Amino acid sequence: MIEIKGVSKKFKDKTIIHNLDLSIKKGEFYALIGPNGAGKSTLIKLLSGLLQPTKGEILLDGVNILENPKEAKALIGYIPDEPTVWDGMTGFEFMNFVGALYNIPANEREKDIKKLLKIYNITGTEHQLYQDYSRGVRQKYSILAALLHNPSILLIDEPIVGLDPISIDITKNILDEFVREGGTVLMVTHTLFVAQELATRIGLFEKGKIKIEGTYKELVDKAHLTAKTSLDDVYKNYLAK
Amino acid sequence: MSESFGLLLSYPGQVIKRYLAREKFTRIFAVFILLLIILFIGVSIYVTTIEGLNFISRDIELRDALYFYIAQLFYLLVFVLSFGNSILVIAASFARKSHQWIMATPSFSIMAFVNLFQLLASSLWIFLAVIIPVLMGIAQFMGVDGLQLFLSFVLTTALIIVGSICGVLAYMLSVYLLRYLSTLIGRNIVSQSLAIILLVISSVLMIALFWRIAIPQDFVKFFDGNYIVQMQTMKEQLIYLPTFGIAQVLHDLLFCSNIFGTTYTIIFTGLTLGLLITVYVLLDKSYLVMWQLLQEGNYIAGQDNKRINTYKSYNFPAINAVHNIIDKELLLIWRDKKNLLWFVIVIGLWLAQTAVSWRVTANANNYGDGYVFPDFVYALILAIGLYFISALALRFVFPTFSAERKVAWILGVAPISPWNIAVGKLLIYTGIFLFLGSPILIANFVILGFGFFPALLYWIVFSLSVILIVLLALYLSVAHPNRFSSDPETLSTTLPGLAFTSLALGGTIIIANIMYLVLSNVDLVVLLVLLITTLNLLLTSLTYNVSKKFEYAGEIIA
Repeated sequence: MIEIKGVSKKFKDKTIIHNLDLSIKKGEFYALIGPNGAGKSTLIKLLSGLLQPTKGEILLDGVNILENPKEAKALIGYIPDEPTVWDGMTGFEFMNFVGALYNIPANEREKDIKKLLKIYNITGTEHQLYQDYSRGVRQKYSILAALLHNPSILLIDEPIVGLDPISIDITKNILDEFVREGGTVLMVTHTLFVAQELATRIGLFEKGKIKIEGTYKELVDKAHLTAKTSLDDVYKNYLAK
Repeated sequence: MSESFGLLLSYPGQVIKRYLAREKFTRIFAVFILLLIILFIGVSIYVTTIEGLNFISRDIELRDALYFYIAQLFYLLVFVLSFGNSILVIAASFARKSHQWIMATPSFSIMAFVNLFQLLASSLWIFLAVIIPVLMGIAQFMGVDGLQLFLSFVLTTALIIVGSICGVLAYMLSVYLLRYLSTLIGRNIVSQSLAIILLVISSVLMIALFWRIAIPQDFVKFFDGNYIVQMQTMKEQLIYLPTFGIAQVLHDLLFCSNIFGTTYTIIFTGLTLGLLITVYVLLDKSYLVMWQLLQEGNYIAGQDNKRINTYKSYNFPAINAVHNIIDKELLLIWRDKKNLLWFVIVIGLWLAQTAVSWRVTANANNYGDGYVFPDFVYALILAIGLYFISALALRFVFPTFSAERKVAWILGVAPISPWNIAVGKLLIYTGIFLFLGSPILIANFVILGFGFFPALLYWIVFSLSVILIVLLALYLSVAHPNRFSSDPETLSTTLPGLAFTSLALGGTIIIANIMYLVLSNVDLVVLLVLLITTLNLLLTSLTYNVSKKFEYAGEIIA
């Protein structure tokens, strides 16, 4: 469960997030969509502990990330928009290092990594250097690394950039299964069809605030559009207002 | 193209304008303090030069020959350092992925100019900051006029440019050699790593050869006879050094007030400018081809990678967070050939200095019952050691948090605090520097016949100072992470980078001077140890405090 209570974030004198309140329940998939510069990535960085809020509190499964950062971070799996890793590491080393940071014993880690690599069919690439991986393979490793320690919350910033259509389907299945097993997901994306297909709730984020939110059907109804309208059209309709 | 040049040339002005746009007074004050520290370093080097020359001048039989020998060694060192720095900067420029978008535009050849300019600027400012006080010290001691001093600046600048250009040419040559070998064996072997390995081997051989020429087997025979005989012996041996001629011009200018120095300086400067233009034209023509060759690599997009080498992956056996950070740092230092090149160059120079100590002592002992070196030599050995440690800390520790800007999502979201990361980095870098530095320092003291107790005191001060240097670099890295660059060469020229260089060098000079006084007043060492320990505790506390507020990401501009 994610609870955001009165969170603001300022960079110098510029406010990016304005007094935000948001609650995402356990087993819920929340997609945050919005124009560039709305503050979506900043919000996800606040939740993952990469940034500190200027005001307000963030609770992850009831743990305050400012007061107990280590405990809170152990609950999160984070998939970044840019899957950059140290060039001098192999994929296996990267996964192992991440596992070690989450205190997973070495022998367990190795078994888990082998199992995870099979999901995207990338077994055989793990002992080669990260600098030689394509964008897609890097993205796959970053998704798998986020799952390695069995998190209860997934924070995702653009999950399918660089992935081929088959890998996109695999990713959607991973996320779908994660939510069905009781996990909580907050995803920031511009790829609206993924949000439309997977999200149980969608929020339109603009200028550091949630402009409107609801299920896909609720958003279509509120916009007075026909049932067959895509999220893309719904999005454009709201922004035009 | 001219538009791009205009933009490029206006860039430094814009940087200064942006820097002073906010908190103007505080920032001007910070720059003022920085300039004061640089001035302090300059004055210290200036005074040390005069003191050294004063010491040499007491030996009437040797002094004139020694002046010539010092000029030769000084210019050889300047050449080798410019050469090494140039290879590192030019190699880094081909590794930057951020230049891809410029290389895809019709103005791609501007990067040849940018890199050459960056390379010369990075070589010149640091060397001139140290070299100018040395030249001024010599001029003051020898009583030469302002024109000759000015010409010696011009000459030294020209030498630094030539050394840097030689580095660029060596790098280009190694890339083209690899390309030629690739066509011979029918497989592409051109890579950054291989080019650097090739240059490391050549550089080690070159330094060994120069050392063999520059350091005589027998100093007594080398300086035997009157001035004319001494000069004859030296010239016969040192003529094989690449810097022999230009060092002779410097000697003429500063030590002999010789009018020929002026003519040769003008000729050499003209030749340097010609060489610079030629190399720019060469680089301009071949930059794109070299870029393309060096950007090629393996491309792993799935399972079909049988032709690509695999690595023996390390499995991070520890669970302790700090231990894992240490393992990660070691692994990455080992895998990056440029890092290894840095260690090879710095440790190689330090070992070369140790070998000189050994040769001089062994030679002196052949002619007497153990020569006793003046006290300042021991303090100088300590200063040299701390200087090398500062150079390593500037390359590895100071950029460490900024360099992890793009991978911050891994460490920042994991259940590990920035303080744990800082502790891991403190332990690993202090460990490496002490592991490499202590044996070399102790070897120097053993060779020079330093007593056990004073050597122990010196080693304690050295170890505490290494911790101090690493802590200072770490504190600045956490307190002032750079959100725009992760390149160590660029970071070293930022204001915090300059502050680190100035403080580390200034501290080194103060510590070495106090340790010189310690030899006549042992009580001072207790005070010094207490002072450094207090500074270490203070910096630890400051680093802890800034790490609590550390943010892994900055403002996202969209």
